[in-house]
Amino acid sequence: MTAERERRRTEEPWRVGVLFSCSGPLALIEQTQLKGTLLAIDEINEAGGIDGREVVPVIYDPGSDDASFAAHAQRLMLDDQVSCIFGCYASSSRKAVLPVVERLDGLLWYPTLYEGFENSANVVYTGAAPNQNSLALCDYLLGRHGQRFFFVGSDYVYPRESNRVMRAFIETGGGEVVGEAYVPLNATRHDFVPIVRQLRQAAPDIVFSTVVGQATTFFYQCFAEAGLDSATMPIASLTTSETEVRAMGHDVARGHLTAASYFQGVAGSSNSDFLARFRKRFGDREPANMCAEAAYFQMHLFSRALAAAGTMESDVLRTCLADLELEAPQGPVRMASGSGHARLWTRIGRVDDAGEFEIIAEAGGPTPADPYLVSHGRNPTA
Amino acid sequence: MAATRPPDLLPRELARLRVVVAVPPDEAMREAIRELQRTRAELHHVWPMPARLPADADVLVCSYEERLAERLPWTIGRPSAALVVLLPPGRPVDYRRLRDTAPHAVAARPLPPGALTAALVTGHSAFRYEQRLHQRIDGLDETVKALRSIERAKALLMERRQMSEEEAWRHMRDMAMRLRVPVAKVAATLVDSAPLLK
Repeated sequence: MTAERERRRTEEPWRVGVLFSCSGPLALIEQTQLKGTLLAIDEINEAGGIDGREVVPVIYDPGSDDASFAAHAQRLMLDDQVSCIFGCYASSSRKAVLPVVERLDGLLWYPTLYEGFENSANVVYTGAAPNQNSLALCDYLLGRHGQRFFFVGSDYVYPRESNRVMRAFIETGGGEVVGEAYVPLNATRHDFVPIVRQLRQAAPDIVFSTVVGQATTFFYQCFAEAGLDSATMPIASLTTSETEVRAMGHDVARGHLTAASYFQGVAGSSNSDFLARFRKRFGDREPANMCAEAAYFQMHLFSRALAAAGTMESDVLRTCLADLELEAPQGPVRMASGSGHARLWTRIGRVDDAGEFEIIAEAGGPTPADPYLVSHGRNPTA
Repeated sequence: MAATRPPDLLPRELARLRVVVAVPPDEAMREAIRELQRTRAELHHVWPMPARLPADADVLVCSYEERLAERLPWTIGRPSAALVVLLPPGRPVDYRRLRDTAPHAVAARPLPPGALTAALVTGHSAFRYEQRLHQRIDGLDETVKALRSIERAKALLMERRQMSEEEAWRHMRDMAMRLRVPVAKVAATLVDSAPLLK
């Protein structure tokens, strides 16, 4: 290699693909993942890049549309020649991108809780699998709030699969599911009127919600307007984060529960540093949440793996990622040795008067992911 | 957005590949090999064709012959390298045998410029994809086996020890934690020793 080519090569930026929706019903939450991603990229570059080379994102807006996610993943890999794509919130968008990254041997870095039952060598899963959130939520609720659950979800792959898992957890734990209802992904206020009526009639002890995106706001607001009370019928969710709470209003969210790996109230300097930088970059009123946090720490994981690998080739990156540990805002996390899943924290938060999640239950340390629930007796596939 | 840069015509992974070429070295083939050298792959030319082709290659480039399958260092279906087969000029080809040798790419000699690199790059990509799918299937098979063991062991404990499903599960989980092994391993051991449990 000539000196000129060598010089060009060593200054060439590391290009990465970024796919989060800036439009459509999932833009609200996916924008927080974009922010977490960009904040981490800024930090990496301010610290001198990786091996002296800058990380440069190539960003597209798939507009909350699964086919567009797949098309943009293909464009990123074929035309922009990136091998790593940071993106996807909805499981249906992950499923759409999967064949592309699998055939072209890319890596999809996926910072979202999901329904499990997947383990692709071409995905790095940094959000919670069911054993890292729903199992703990189910145990907590059965122990304190009662036995009768009502499921409300957005109608796509994640809520349906997640409810299948949750139903098995509840029934083995001695509880029962007294109702199950779905609304379209782009549901409006109007769609929740009949749901709230059903809830009033069934009078469950707990409402388990997998409503996502903009519709979350409408659901909680309709619930409150109908006079239903979080003290007697809390909504428990795996997806309602600080971002949705802010959108719907504190008064509406107060008393409802969410299980997640991260809340803004997590103690420790790693989180306070993260929050300070997040607010400095995006404004004091901008909340962080579990999705922003996962998007943020996974970019730092990538940076560590890339520093060790010295190349963007997936084979090498995968090897360098195994067993990697990182002090994330949620606490120490660690990649598994033989899969792309991470050890994550399990926490339950309840919305307080200020609209923050008060952490009311917390695991003693990070839990390894068990995407197929092999090590859990309450196995829904059994 | 990033600045544009000159496109990479040669995939990076080529420079890490060990390629064994077992093809008669006529002048056209020598030119094709010189072309391959520019990819910075590690090249080894062997001729005559050995009875057993080396097992440590990432890509095997072989001249077609009827009994090629017997020279491969694997049995058909689980290749350990990408197989690129070159059809010799002016000789009939048994297409059934060619198909059953399961090559990842095929090219005909004499090779036009670029043809060998093209066959090598596409063949290796197809091979790696096949390998990742195999790994995913192996993982799924293991998972299904583990789930089955756990269910069978649970049923055994419920029947023979009069445990509830939850008790049976806790029993196995506690044992797994004590022994620091996966629950599936405890379950498989329980199932294997079922005759002794009677």
